[in-house]
Amino acid sequence: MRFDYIFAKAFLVLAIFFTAAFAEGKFMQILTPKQNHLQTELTLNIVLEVDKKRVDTIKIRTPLEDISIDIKSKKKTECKNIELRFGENRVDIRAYKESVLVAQEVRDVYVSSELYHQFRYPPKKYSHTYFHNQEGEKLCAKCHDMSVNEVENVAFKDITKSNCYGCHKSINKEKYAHAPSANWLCTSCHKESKENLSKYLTKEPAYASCFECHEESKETWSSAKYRHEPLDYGRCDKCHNPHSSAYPMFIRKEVNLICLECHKDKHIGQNFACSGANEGDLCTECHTPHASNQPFFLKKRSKRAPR
Amino acid sequence: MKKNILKTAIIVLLLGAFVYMFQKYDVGEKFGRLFVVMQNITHSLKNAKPAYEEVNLTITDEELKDINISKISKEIKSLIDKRKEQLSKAPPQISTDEIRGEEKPVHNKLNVREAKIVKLEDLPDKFKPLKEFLHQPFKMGACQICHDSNSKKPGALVQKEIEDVCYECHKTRYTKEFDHTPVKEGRCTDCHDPHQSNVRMLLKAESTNDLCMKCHDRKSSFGAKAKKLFVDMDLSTKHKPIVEKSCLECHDAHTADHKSLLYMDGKMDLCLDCHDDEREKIRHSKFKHGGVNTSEKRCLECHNPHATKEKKLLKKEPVAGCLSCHNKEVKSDEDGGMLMNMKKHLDENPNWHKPIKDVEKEGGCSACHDPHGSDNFSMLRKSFTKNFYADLENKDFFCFECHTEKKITKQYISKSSEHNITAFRDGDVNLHYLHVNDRKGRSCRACHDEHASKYNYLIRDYTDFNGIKFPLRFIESAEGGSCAPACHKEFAYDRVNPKGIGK
Repeated sequence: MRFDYIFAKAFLVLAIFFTAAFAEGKFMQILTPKQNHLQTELTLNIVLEVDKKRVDTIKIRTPLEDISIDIKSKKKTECKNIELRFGENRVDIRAYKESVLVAQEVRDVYVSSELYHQFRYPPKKYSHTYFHNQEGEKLCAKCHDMSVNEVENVAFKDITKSNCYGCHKSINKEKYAHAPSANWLCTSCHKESKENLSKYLTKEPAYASCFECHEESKETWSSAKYRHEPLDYGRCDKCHNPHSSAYPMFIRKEVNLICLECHKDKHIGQNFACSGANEGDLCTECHTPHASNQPFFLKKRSKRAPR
Repeated sequence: MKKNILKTAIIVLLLGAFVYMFQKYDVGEKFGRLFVVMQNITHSLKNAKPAYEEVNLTITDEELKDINISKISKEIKSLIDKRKEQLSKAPPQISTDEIRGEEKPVHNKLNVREAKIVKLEDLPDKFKPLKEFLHQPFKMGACQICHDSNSKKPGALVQKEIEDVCYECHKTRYTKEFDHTPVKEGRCTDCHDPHQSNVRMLLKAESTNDLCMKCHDRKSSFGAKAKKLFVDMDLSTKHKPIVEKSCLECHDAHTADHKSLLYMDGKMDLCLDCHDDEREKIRHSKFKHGGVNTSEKRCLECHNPHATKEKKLLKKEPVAGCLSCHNKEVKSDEDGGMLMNMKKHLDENPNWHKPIKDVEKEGGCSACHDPHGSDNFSMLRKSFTKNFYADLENKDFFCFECHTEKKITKQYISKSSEHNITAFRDGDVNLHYLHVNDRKGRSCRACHDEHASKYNYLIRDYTDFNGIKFPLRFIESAEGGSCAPACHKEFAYDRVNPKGIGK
């Protein structure tokens, strides 16, 4: 008797839901991202298809911010750049009509990072979904010019004329920007393409792209006696952000903090791993972060060997 | 019993000790070695003679004959003597005439016909020897060497053609590749007077040059006809040898192996025969000018050997002359790359570097480039860099020949009297210093174009960094400006109201 009641109630709810969804089309549809999307950048492009007659505001709630969009434009789709944090992010998108909730959808997005241990290995359910393939670009081609309009090896005088700029501008918002990135010469690195996956992949490992320009560094480092492990594995992007960063040399964190991300035991003042260092000293005052001919990546030969 | 047991025990102990000692100190081995040594000594005492067999080493007479030592020694001796003789002799002396392989002309004076010698006083007034130089037969009064006295016609020659008459004595006929046209056509008397003249070689003019210019002048009837062969000597700049000496410094009047009757190849070799300093540059400098070294006309590509309007005997005005070739992308001899189209670059960009703008005063392209070649890249007269980054402290850059070094070395420019050192200031802070005097100092060319630009201060439109062209995005304001290159985001500076850069 009781079971029948629950079943009947569930059936009723489902029936209402389906009629609402299919009778006159959806209130709102999320074109990108897909559910369980995995990425390495901290910004996310959300593209929504909204039924303007039945929806007047969209509210997006992320772990970092609440965004409210009033739908006034005549365009059928709405694009929005949002900020994410490392790890799991639940993006809650709600559609309102006269402050009454009419539709709600949720996207789980994971931002992984080579640098941070806890975010290096995402849960299995997340996977990379690429947008810049034929199928994906079709969605945006009505409004956006999806072609590459950069001249090879000549930077834009007005960077806003780059076709990439419109959607990806937040990538260069930090203080220190890598020259090719700041000048929107995206395809100088994003030039690998795989069919049905993406047109703008980069070379793997990252240093293949880096050393195309930084040739001198390649020579000096490859001939050095000792090399830092990330460099040897070609993961320049582990410490450096190839686009822009708030810290000089586009490193992802402040100098000492970035070192301590891996060398957790070497905290100055805690267990005195570096006998000569004082609180406030930079690791890079004595060590070179890339390659050296002296042990422990010291800049010069030390008279007093570390313990 | 007890005693026996004790004895045996002692014996056993002693034996054990002995065996132990024997083993510890290797007594057996030592004895063995001693035995071997003793054996050797006794052996050597017994057999004092060496162990090897004696061999009969005498050589038979027959064998000696075969060898014949005396003959060999003689041969060697003779060889040595020969060499000594060679060395003692003085090096052979060869006269310069022998090297030339030319025979000196021998004037056959005896080949005179039975001639009546006319006394000079008896000659008619017209033929009296009044001038400085006289033809030898004329001086002798031997008119009959050339003239036929039997002929009724006065002044008739011995031979039909004049040249045959001349060649009878002046036997060296002209056999080289190129002949002067009058020589070829036998018109000796076009230039030479057969009797007398005030000029050496019995020339029919005041001087050698005048004689040449009789025909080879633009205004002469011949010069008008043969365009290539006239020489415009009215122009302001003249080649020194022509003015100070004569045309014959380079040309042979009669015949020569090289075109234009020159002593050597006229495109370059002849020029470099005198111009020593340029010869060094052109032949041996590290970076050479294609215009001189690989072009068709060599020196004559730019210079006229006789006279021009321009200085340095240039065919065209300094900058315009350079741009007559550099009006397209030209292949560089330095690295095989393409040199930029300089004419296009100058046409498109109105602000020119001063040496190009003020050619009269500063010298045009050749103020910085040596058109004949240089050991510095791009044939620069002094060192510079091709790189974006440069350690300016240790390098002596060409730029500082004209521009003061204070521009980059002074960190603060506080005195108003020094404000003219550089306009690239944010208040007192010298922004040149900020850009240049660093571990990774930028070279001048990172921001400035050496030739021309759309912007003031020759600021580049694009800077080349690792093969990528980045715009500098320079915007000038009333008392300053701003840049937003690839290196940093947009920074503004102001000379009057500083924006606080570098603080």
